[in-house]
Amino acid sequence: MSGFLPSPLADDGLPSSAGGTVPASSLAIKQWTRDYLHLDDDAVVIVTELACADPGCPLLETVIAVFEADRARKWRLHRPKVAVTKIMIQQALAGLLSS
Amino acid sequence: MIPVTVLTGFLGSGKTTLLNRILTEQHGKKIAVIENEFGEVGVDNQLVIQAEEELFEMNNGCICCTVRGDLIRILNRLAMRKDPLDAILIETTGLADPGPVAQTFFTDGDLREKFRLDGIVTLVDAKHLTQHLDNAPEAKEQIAFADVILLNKTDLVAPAELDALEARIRGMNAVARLHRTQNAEIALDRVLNLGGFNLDRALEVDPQFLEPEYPFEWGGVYDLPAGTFGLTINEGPDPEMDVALLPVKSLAEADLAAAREAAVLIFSDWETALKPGDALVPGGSLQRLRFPAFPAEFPVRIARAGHYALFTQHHPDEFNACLHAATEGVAPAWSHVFKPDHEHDDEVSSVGITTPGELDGGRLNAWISQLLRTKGTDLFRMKGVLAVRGANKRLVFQGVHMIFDAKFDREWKPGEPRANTLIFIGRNLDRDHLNAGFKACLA
Repeated sequence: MSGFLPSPLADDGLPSSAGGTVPASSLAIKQWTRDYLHLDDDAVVIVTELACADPGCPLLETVIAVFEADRARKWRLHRPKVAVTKIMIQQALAGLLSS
Repeated sequence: MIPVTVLTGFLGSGKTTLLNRILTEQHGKKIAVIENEFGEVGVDNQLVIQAEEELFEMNNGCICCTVRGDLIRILNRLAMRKDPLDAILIETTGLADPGPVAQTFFTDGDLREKFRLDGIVTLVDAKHLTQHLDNAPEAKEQIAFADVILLNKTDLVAPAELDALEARIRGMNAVARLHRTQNAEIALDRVLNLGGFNLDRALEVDPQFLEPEYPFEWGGVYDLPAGTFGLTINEGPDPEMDVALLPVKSLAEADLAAAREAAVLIFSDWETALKPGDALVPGGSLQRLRFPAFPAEFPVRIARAGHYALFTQHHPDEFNACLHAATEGVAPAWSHVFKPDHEHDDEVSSVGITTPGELDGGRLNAWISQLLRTKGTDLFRMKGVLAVRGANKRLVFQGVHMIFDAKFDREWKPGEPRANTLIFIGRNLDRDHLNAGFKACLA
């Protein structure tokens, strides 16, 4: 029952070799984001699952936030982390998915 | 994991004084200080990093999901250091809401692996606290979030006023440890390594907080023969005190509880005023003892031998009061200090719930989820230890706004009664509604 009362911001941080359409872990999402945006080592990527209060939205959304020296950006994917794929990340970062 | 302590408090409350003390004391620890742009900390051996508060909403417009972007960048740099740190102190700006600072440490798995939010220490300026509480909502939030509160600059305020300030703080945050200080002088072990967010220490709170509140501060049961006794009030802070004197069948727990409940009713009733020399008799009415001068003497007439309970509005020690036969003092066979009614005049308050029994996991999950969705913004801190049906271990949890941490810790011991304890600190908390919602989760 370790999943009981899970934190909306909990992050298992499990590594994953996933790519393509395979469900993602935080580490994989971070790496895909770094690769796609060509981020340098000083940039921080945060991946978190939040309870979304928007009407019609599923209970959990995945938020990717990127903190660079002079700016901070975020992308919201309206699905839980396990349902996020590499292609979705690339589409979201390219601005092809609504957030 | 590096422990992180957050210092909050208004400008002039003594944060910088405390920081300087922590940095200059010979504790042999390597401490990094992240201070706001107005700070004046400057110590050679330690690492001092200037930060400019940058609030970042992970979600749109929700304070519960707001973090500090500047901290995320700084922590990332600190995590890459070759020379490891023993502790990190974060000084916030005077008007800062501690929520986003705390939430920053729960947002991401990498951060949680490297840093452990240890506690929130709030300094308050005793001289200006009332003004701050009345004019700035941030002052209340800083008190509500705190694991430790330093009521500082006590030398500038009269003792009676300090008592009133402390009562007001307690009315808001009944769980935090409170220390009175001058020049922010406090032993470091009282502000560092608090375990405020440590699930294993989730319920290290004053057990009296979880007791119900009573309209009297003290009750004692005396075993008295028939005759006349005296109640002497030697000196005290008030010119009067309400008391109830009533017979009790025995010292058995059930009889004491019955007497206590009877006293609650009596204290809600109209009072009869007694002046020195008027007799105090056992019965069902509230008696208000008036003290035009000290000492004040009231005869106590007992017609039949037996056990008699005396409940007093204030602790007898405050009046150096004693019951006596002729010249000999009479000691109570049983006595208890009760938790007095707090004045909940602030919109920020604490609610404690204790309930024996086991909870239905599904209903509990649904209730908590609904509570966080609808009230997350107003819930500052939550802690608890719960008994869930079907689980042989205790479920411990703590949370900030909508962010929750929960785990099963140790097994219930054989014969240990299954019971639940929950603490909420927040704004506009509806005690009855929280109680009813929680009790509906009982299996």
